[in-house]
Amino acid sequence: MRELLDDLMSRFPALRGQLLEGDAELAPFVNVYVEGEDVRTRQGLDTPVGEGSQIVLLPAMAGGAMSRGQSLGRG
Amino acid sequence: MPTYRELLQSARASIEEVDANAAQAMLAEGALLVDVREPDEWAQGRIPGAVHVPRGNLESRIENAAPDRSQPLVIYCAAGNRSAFAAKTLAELGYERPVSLAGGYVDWQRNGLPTELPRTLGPARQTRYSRHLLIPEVGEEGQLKLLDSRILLIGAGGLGSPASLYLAAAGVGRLGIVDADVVDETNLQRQIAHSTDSLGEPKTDSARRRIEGLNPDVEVVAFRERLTSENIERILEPGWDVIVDGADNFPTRYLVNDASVWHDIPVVHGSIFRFEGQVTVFKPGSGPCYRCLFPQPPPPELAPSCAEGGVLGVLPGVIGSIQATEALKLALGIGDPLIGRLLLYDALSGEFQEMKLRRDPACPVCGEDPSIMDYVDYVEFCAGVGH
Repeated sequence: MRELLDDLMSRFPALRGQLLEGDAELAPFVNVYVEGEDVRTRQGLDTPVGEGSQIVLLPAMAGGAMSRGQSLGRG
Repeated sequence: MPTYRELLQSARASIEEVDANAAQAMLAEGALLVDVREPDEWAQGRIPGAVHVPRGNLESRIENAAPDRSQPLVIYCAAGNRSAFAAKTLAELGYERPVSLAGGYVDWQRNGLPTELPRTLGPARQTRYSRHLLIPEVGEEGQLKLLDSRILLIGAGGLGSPASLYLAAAGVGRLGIVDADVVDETNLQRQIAHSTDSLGEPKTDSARRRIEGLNPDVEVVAFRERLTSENIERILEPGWDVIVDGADNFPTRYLVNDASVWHDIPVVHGSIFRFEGQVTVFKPGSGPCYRCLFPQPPPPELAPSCAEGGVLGVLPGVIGSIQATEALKLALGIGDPLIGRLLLYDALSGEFQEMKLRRDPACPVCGEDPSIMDYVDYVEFCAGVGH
């Protein structure tokens, strides 16, 4: 899995910040699934990945709206 | 040749009879109440907690109703005669303590003791819900359960609209709606509970009108406010069986999650983005909670852009309808709710996938050693300025 993600992130560098924390471990607000199983329940980023494996990268999604008057704080 | 009178006397002499007080004491200690009257008598009222085993089927059905012969039985009929014969038969069948209620149901009622009338739907509801009544897994009993259900909707927007409409159509007796927004024209591309007529109105009012028009059986409880740590307990106070989470921001999702764990209320979670949607059921104790998946919200610098990400209008219709389906399954207690299963839908490819979700023993809220004990009001920042 690590190799696969490294390859992906080398092609899409912006993904690195979305997927990894401190460059080595999966960030807590993203989940990665191989064949429907969370890699954290397997061998984490060392989980083996085969030809034709289904991988899902799942970031936390809260939905769309944050329009006028709704933000609770502005940075 | 004995007469009926003599037969009855002999039966009563050979069994134990109790009065109402003694019967209530026995019931309080775990005796089973058995009504041996005919079905038409049962349909007109019974003593609460009774099981119905008409005397005509006593021998064949009693073992199902009362498998434990050591459990005391309080048997009643209308006047105390049939129950005497029944008690005698049950003693012959090996029941250790079958007693007959002297004076039966008539005396019980006359003394003002509690009785219950059967609940039926009535002709109007039998018509309205006829397609539910035809389904064995629902039937009149299920429909009555739905009419008794109380479901809280967080958000009356993209997800909440279809969910609220289908839950209302199904006859959920009480629908709570939490939404502080007003109807905006950009909403009408997907938020089908609202309309051009209701532009500018609070979404709670607009949704209420639409729901009441669809089904007057539904009581709408509106909360025209944003969910925060200050109001969440008050909003939960009336009591809810299921929460349908159609929120559009992280702070609300986490408040709902934590509350659901502490109040033991299942949450049907849905979220959408462009062409993709997710739906699952977080049931405290049975499966993971939202924090098992995402212990904390993403840091502000990685938060999604504040402008709406754009979404295919019908997508929340699909996901919201699945949320309503899951809520109905939970309310009815049927089928396999999506507990521990995350359903992903990709509208473009037309594919559904399922991910296994597990409880995290280290979860800060539902884990073995919780570190979060109080509501957290996350402040939602906007990545990127000047939108």
